[in-house]
Amino acid sequence: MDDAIIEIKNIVKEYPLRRGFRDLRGQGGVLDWIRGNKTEKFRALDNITFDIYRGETVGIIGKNGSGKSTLLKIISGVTLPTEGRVLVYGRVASLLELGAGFHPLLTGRENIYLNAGLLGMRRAQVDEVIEQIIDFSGIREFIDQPVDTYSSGMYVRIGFAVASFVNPDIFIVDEVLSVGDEEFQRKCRLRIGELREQGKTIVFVSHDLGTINALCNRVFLLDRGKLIDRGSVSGTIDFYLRQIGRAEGIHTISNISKDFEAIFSHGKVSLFYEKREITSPLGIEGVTVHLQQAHTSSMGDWLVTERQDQSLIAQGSLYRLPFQWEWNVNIQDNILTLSPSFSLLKEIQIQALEFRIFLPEIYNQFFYAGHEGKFTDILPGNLGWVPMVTPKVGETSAFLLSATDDYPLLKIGYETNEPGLSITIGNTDYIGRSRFISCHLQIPETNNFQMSKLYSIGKLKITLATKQQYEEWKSAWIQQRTIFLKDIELRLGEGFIEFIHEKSMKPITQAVHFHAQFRLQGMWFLSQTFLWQAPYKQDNKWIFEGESQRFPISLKWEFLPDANNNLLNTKVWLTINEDLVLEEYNLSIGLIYDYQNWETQLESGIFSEIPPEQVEYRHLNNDYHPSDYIIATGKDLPQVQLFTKQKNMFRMTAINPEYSLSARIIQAIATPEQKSVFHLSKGTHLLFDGGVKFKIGDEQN
Amino acid sequence: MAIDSQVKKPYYDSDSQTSVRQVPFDLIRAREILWGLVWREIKARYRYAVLGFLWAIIEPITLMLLLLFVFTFVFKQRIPAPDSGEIPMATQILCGLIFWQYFAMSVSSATLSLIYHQNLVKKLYFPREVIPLSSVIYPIVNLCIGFITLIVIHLILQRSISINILWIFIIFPILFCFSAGLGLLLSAGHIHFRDIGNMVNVGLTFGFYASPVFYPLDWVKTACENQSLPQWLYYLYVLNPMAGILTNFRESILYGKIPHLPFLLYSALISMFLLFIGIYVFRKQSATFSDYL
Repeated sequence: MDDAIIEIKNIVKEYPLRRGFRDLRGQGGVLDWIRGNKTEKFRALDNITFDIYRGETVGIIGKNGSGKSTLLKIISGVTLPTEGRVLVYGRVASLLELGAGFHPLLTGRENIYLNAGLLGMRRAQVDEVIEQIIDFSGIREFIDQPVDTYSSGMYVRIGFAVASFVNPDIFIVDEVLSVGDEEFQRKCRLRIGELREQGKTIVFVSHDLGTINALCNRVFLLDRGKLIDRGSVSGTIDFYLRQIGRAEGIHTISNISKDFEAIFSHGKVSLFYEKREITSPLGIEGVTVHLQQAHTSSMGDWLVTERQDQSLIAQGSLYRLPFQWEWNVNIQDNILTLSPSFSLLKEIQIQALEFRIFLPEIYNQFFYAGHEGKFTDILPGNLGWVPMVTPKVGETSAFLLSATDDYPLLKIGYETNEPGLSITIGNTDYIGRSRFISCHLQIPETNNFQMSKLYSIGKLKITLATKQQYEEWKSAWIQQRTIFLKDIELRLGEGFIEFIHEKSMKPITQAVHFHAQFRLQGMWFLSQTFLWQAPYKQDNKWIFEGESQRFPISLKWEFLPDANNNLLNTKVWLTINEDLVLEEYNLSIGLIYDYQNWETQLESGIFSEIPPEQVEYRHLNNDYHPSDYIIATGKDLPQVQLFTKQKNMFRMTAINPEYSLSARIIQAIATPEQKSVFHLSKGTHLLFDGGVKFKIGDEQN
Repeated sequence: MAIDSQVKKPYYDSDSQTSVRQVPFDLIRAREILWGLVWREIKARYRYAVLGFLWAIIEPITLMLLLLFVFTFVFKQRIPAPDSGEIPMATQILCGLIFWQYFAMSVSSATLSLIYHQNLVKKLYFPREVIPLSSVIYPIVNLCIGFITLIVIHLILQRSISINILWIFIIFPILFCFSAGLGLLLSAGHIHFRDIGNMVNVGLTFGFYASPVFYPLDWVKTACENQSLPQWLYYLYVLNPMAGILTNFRESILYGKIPHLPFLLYSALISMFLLFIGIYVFRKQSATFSDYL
């Protein structure tokens, strides 16, 4: 191959017996040598041949003593193979030698020069980057102190900084990720990601199979000096896990037609559809949160206790928590069900349990809580996880759509009777490069689990869905949240209602839509910021309840539609748990910009053009006395009337909002009698009684 | 494949690691590493010593005074005082000492250098020759300081210096090659047989007495001619190249004479030969040093 950067040809490495006084006699000694006896040598590598190509990230795994370090030493030129040949077409730097050759009596700066020189840099080249190296190490103030005054952390930092800026073609990383603190490990991972991005070749040795899986294009398994290549990364890793006797924690199940498979491996489930892995290398994992610490299920000892073709039961105890999982996983046709339960080996407080499903980047769209969204791209700068949606109460499933047909549509849902389930969808950081769907079950502090009792906590369901199922589900979701009038559809969103003109299927509301807002303690709160439950029907009424996340107040909207008259009777109640001063509140409808005229009981006017420089709400009324209704009209648009049945209670106001909203607003502003604020006592208060009425085309005038 | 390897020049080829012909090229490539190691040793040695480089003067002067005391007072009666010209014993001893100390320091630190730098050898790839070579180079600093001291004392006592002192630029390279050759050979051996470290100590102590360090070669010559020692012992004595080297240093620096040419030629040949053997043996072994550390 032309672009092979490392060529390893038939390498054998034998370690001779150590020579010394004792070895002159006995086996392998002088007498044997004279007699011509050949002595047994330790064969560390046995006839290994492979090439590594430019830009690859290659992982090397194997048990202790399998020859990994010897192979790295041979690649980096530290030692020679006994037979065979190694050719390296580029400069090698190993990240394992952080601070190799540092002299304790020399200063940090002097050691940087020396270390960079040993890694193959010229002094002039070091001069160019010395400041960058010092900045990266973050210990500028100590840089002219001898390094024996440094802490071990500083030592490693400066070593890593040098290695980072040496800029070789090949990096050798040996277990470096297991030293240093969390922050340093993160920095290392990030740096490795960057190097990969720059097209550097990376040879990576680690016991952390998860990292290997996430980072490497190819994996070589060494077994007693022999090379075992099982093709794919996950194939090799699985083989390795079996080999090291952890096979008791692995089992594969599939449906009858064998097109949907799940591999359970030590607290991680990977899904395959038609032999293609549809979860990302991170798979599906369970997380136990204890004292703010997340313990993933793969950090435990697992044993598959029941093995069937279509189901399995596995038990795992976490390494660092007296917590035992029991997972019951089965596949029926196109549905995978994971029913987790757990028991505690000691009485500890569990704060939350979570299931995370990781999908590859090819999944780029989701549908959750009525919201059809696209994932953003995962960029090298993404250091943290980025959620795409905020959890909605009562919304316990989501659809995931991929960019190609090879990856099936997935419906992921969690069924539980416990309250406190929330679903978050988003992107992981750049290293993980996956989409995540998190089913998070918050456990109230008052919940005390008894020791060694098995608690069942619902079901995670993953369904391979079809496009048709998705469309049906989506429209059912919309149906469930839509009030149909004769000519208008009212769609209930999170704390607002969107009006849709049925004839054109175009929304006539915009920005805030139909909502309420409150001023408490000098600040405005929109009903959108409340946490809303799914609307439900009671007789002919629709009830829509939401709770403020900030104040002890909750809102209840009651809609009584009169379909034939295009009328939506609306009542709004406010329930408060303690006495409260409500400074102001209103109900508003944000209409599209095309509405031109407005009219109240007292006067009428036009919605003037909004100048681009306008950044505030501008009232258009001249007469501010309370009135009963306000009407907005526009050419070919349904006439919208906001009315109240409460006399002398609301000032009906027409507003031009800021330019960027590109909307018209009609608003019912509550006017407190005499007093300038509302003093509300604990209990439920009727805030608004009235509604919205629509008139279409020829009905007008 | 054949065409391939001609087109692409590998940065590292395991096959060329034992090739002796590669040594000069490897050393040129690694010159900055060599200077780095030398500087590191010099800086680390003197930075935190209060008297710093003064130690390079104090050490030989103290030893010189001690030996001077021993020979002028203690053994005065027993050893026949030969005619050593007008050159005082003090400069004679100092001249022998500084060059011997350079040699001893080079050889002993070179022998142990691979062990001393084992964290480099075990972890990084670079031509291993630079390690013993750096051990032979950094004592030059001490030597220079000692040499200046010698010249100052010589000028104070003699008030003259000859142009023949320039011969040191021929003699010192011979000493350097001798030390380097021995250093390479012994350090490579030391990796396999740690006994060599002890042997070198014994050998250097022996050499200190068996070389004209604190007495001139004439004493030995005279003793053998006087039949107080057998004649063959003298021939055995001058087989040691250090005998010729140290004597020639004295001749050119103190006596202002042209060096004794047979000695010069002999020591040069031995040194070159030893250097070549050292480089050859070292190169054949060096690529697998890390296996034995």
